[in-house]
Formats: sequence, C-alpha cells, structure tokens
Amino acid sequence: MKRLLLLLAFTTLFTSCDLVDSVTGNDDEVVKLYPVLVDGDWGYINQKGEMILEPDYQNARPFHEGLAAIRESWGWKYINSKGEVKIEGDFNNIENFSGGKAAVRFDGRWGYINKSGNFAINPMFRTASAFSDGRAFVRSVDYSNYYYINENGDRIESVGLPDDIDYIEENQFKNGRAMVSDDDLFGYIDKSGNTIVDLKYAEARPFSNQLAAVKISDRWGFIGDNGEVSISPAFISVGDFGDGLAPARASSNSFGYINKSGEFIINEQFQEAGTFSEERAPVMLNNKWTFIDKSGNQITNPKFDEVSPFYNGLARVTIYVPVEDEIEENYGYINKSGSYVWYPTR
Amino acid sequence: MTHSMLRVKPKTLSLLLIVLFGFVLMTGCDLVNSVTGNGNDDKSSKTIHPILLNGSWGFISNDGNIVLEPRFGQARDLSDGLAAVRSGTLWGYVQANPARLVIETKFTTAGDFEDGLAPVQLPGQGYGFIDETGSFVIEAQYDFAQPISEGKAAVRIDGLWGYINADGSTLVEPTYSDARPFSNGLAAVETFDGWIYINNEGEEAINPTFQLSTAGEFVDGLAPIETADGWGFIDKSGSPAITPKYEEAGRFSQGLAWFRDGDYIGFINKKEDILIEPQFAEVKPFSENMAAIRLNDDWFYVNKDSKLISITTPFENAESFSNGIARVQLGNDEDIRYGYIDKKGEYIWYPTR
Repeated sequence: MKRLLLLLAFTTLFTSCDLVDSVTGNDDEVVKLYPVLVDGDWGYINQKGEMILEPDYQNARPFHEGLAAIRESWGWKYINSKGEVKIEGDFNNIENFSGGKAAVRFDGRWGYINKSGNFAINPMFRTASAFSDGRAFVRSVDYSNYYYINENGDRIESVGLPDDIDYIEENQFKNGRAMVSDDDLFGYIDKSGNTIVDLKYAEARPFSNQLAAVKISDRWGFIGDNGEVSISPAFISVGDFGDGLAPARASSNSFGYINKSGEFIINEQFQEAGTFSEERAPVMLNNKWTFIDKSGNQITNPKFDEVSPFYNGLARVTIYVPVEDEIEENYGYINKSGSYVWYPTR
Repeated sequence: MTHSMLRVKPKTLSLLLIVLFGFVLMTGCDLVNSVTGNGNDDKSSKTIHPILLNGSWGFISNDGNIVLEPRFGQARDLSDGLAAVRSGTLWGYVQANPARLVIETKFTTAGDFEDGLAPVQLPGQGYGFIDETGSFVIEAQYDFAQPISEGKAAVRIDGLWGYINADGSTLVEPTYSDARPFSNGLAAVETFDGWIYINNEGEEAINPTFQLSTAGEFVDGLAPIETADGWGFIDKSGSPAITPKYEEAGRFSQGLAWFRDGDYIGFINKKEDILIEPQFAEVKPFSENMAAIRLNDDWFYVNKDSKLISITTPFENAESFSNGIARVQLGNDEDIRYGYIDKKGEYIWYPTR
C-alpha cells in the first residue's frame, strides 16, 4: 500500500507535466527551452544546454503551448520563446496554458485567461484545474461543490452523480473520461457528465492509453473506456499506461512493465517504476532513479534522487548535495540517451 | 434614497451616493440632447468631470484636459448642464461650456439640477428651488426636497412627504413617511401598511395584496420590490413579473438587474434568465455596456456583451461609465486618489489627490 502511494504520488507529478500537448493536440509552437537554476535565479536553456534566456527570473516553469509562466519583480507573467513578456496582470498565481487557456488566480479567485491575456472565463472559482479535452474541474465560489465546466465556463450537469462529488487531485479528462469520487468510491464520467462507470471502486486511476487501472477484490486490473474489464485483476500494484506499457507487479516486491494484454514485457526488477513518456520511463533501483527505454535498458546508471518525465526531448533530474547539515537540490537535464545537456546546478 | 437596495462598505457609501446622483445626471443629459438634437461628440465636448488635485477639486473635459482649475472643497458630477461645487461650507454651481462658476456659492445644500431646477437651501432657511440663473422660482418652504424627476419633486413638510409640480403647485399634500422620485409615471411612497405607488395625478396606482417592505424605481416597466418572500419585480399593473425569491435585487439597467444569492451577486434579464452567474461581492448597475463589480478586495469592470471582466486593473472603488469614461479610486484613508479611465481601462486622467 505504502509503495502504491509512493507510485501514485510520483505519477501525479507526471500528469501535471505531460497533459498539455499530448491531450489537446494543439498546433501551437513547441518551444524547446527548459528552465534551469543558476545561483538562485532561473533562466532557460535549449536542447544543447546553451543558455538562451539569461537567468534573471525569480521562478520559471516549462513552456506550454508557446508560453511559459515566470516570476519577476514579484509578479507572475507569461513569456514567449524570445523572453518577451506577452501577458502580465495582477495575478496572485498562474498555471500553465492548456487548450488555449490558463487558470489564473485574480483578487483571490480562480478564472481562465486566453492567450491575449483577457479573461475567457471570469474568476469565479475557489479552485480551478487545467483544461483537458475541453473540460476543467473547478470549485464553486461559495465552496459548496466541485464540478466540471466546458470551454464557455458553463457547468456540466452530471447525470447520475451526487451534487457534491469529492475533490480529487487527478481530475483531468483523458481519453474522454474523467475519474470521479464520492464517499471514497471511484467511477468515471464522459464529457457530457454521464456516468459511464458507476462509483464502485475503492481505488482507481485515471484513463491513459484508453485503459484505467482499478482495484477489484484486492488486486489491480484495467478497464476499457466503457467499464469492461480489459486486463484481469492479477496485480498487487500498477501504474498508468504510457506508450502501450504500464508498471506492474504481480508476484514479487519489484515492478516490471506489462503490455495491454497484461503480459510482462519487462520483468519485475524495479523498486519503483513510473509511466512511460516519450518512450522513456523512470525507474528506481537501490534508492536512486534512472530511465529505461521500451526494451527495459537503463539509459544511465541509477544515480538521480528525483526525476521528472521526459518533456520535449529532455528530462529534469535532481541530485541531493549535502552542504553541512542541509541537503541542497541541484537540477540538471538529460537527453534520451542519458547524457547530461545541463549538469545539475542550483 | 435607495440605500437599502445596494450593499456597501461604509467607506464607499459617500461614493455610492455620488453614483446614484450620477444616474439622475445621465438621464438628464439624454433628455437634453434628445430635445436639442445634439450629436454625441457635441455632448462629450459639453461634459465635465470633477477631479481632485493638490487637495482641491476642479474639472476636466471628457478627454482629460483641465477646464476649471482646482479651487473647490468639493465638486459633484454634472447634472442637466450644471455641477454643484463647494467653497468653504457653501455650495454653488458651475456650468460646463465654457466651464465657470455661474451660480455663486451661497447655499448650505445644493441638489442636482433637473428640468432646469435644483433644490437648494440658504443658511437658516428651508428648501426651495432655483433656476439656472440662481433665482428662486419655488420659494424656500420645505424641510427637505428631492431633485425634479419627470416634472415633479418629492418634498417634506413637518416630517411627511408630498409632491409638487415643477411650477411649484402641490400635486400631493404631505402624506407619506417616505417617498421616491417619479419614473415611468409612477412614484413609490411609504404608508403605514408598507410601500405603494402613486401615479402622475397623485392617485394610488399600485397597492398589491402582498405587503411591500421596500419598493424601488420603475425602469422599463419593472420595479424591484421586497416582500416577505424576498426580492422580486412588479410590472406597472402591480403584478409580480418576477416572483419574489431573491435575497436582494436592484433595478433594471440596460435590460439587466442584479440579484444576490447567498454571498454572491449575478445578473438576470427580464425573463429571469441568469445571464451572469452569481460571483461578485458587490456590483453597480450596467451603464454604457459596463458594470463596476467587486470580486473580493478590489473593483473591476464586467462587459455586458461578453459577460467577462474586461477591465482588470484593480481599483479601490469604481463608478459607472458616463460619456465613455468612469471615475475610479485608488488608495484609501489618507491617500484616496481619483482618476478616470476609458472603456479599455486606460487612464484619461491618472489618479490624483
């Protein structure tokens, strides 16, 4: 259980990064620039590790749909690939663009702006998640409930669901389905709000590659997008499918990867294992992380303390450096061959 | 006044009163120009707006140039071509074009001009009405008098309200404990059994079977009213056109009325469709397609067509648009500054104090 939680926490980290371009299929410019930390300030490098935007920012997040959220002079703004500020305003906080909209916190409320920097949906929510599949999960201004909105900001009336569904972190629509929860039971709805899979699972994961992991009688299996059991519940623990493979363990204390038929393609051998993204998956051995390719080959020795999924060809890796009594996190980037393009700095 | 219809922070009350006066002003301008056939540009060129600079009030033109140097202790919006100003403790009036003092500051109170008349009070005297030359045309005889509206004014004598015509003749003898201005040919008055409406002849026109604990002004044939079941709207026959059910509601303006649900305010149309979901902490009525709204700490403007917040500069307070510009406030307490913005949210007069 503890292991699964770790894995879940880990994959959560992933979704926040890879949901955008893969889900929206947006034609926007893919900016291959990556935030790096140098002497306490953030800049951006290219895929070769060359500094393209000088480290002048107080904070910097990855580019999504052509824009990146940065903080300078204590204000959050969006810049383009040339470092030009394209959107600024009195934002308390901002999130990445997805589906042409970005959630922003404004005078204490969350709303959505478009790429012109104008409100597309008024700041009338207490929380607001990123759009995916044209839907976003929000909390009403009076805190009374959570619900999904469409791209006009109109509430999607759920059919067969209680009014007060629970908050869940992984609320993004994927493959036309969103996982929903009430009274500690999980099910799935479609984009019109219809309940496609009743709330009957004690544990479940969002759809990914058209399959969703669910726990049936103490074992994990996968269901298809109409709720039919597609991979029988034979696993002690599983992760999400990516590039056609999912982390799983059936009989040992270690994870391998299964295909969509439920067959192990990569043997059970990893202490922890994450979802494939851009044909690389993070795995842990001896308490250190590395990445494997789809054949299970490690692209480096396990040597990273933390890793983020591959995004636009690079993955951010973190090394803990003991400095006196403290541990400092140094951030670097590796390419798909496992070579550093940016040696960890802080 | 209509203070019970709007939720206000105490510190914004005085500004709200200015806004309410401002509404009267707009109707006044519209009337004048529809009569004279003046174009919009001409109208703008004849409009002036009060500004505070180095501690004194003056006026700017609609494009942001000073037309009357700051020298007044207080200044109000233009109404029917004249704006009340105060020097020391006494009020007079300035005209717009050319901008200059035309009625000397000698009144202890000075109401807005409408139909060429304004209710005023000389030191130690009651309220009467002056014309645009400053001469009394209705002599001082009232405890209190409201501005003219639709050719009639509510006046109070010995604690009771009646109405007079613009020629000074009595329309309704002092009868009511409270009274509101005429609009759409009707005026709300308070009786011992709640509010009713009287018509142009001063006769009782609407007295519903249900008791009205508050009654607002008619706009486009509908008036907000409060009953035991909450706030709704009646038509001119007195029938509930929108069933009372809201916790609070304001008069229609540009086809929309605000209503409050719990802690949040949205807007409905006359068919009761919710056009803007309840989401604001405080609002002012739509004018010129824009409404000032307060989200949490700050005021912004929402656009009537898109229903989205289109002016995102945070203001300490924000007033209604008039002639394409709106007065906004930055800072508070010792540092209150007033400026004017256009509909793009750009300053035509950067806030000063």
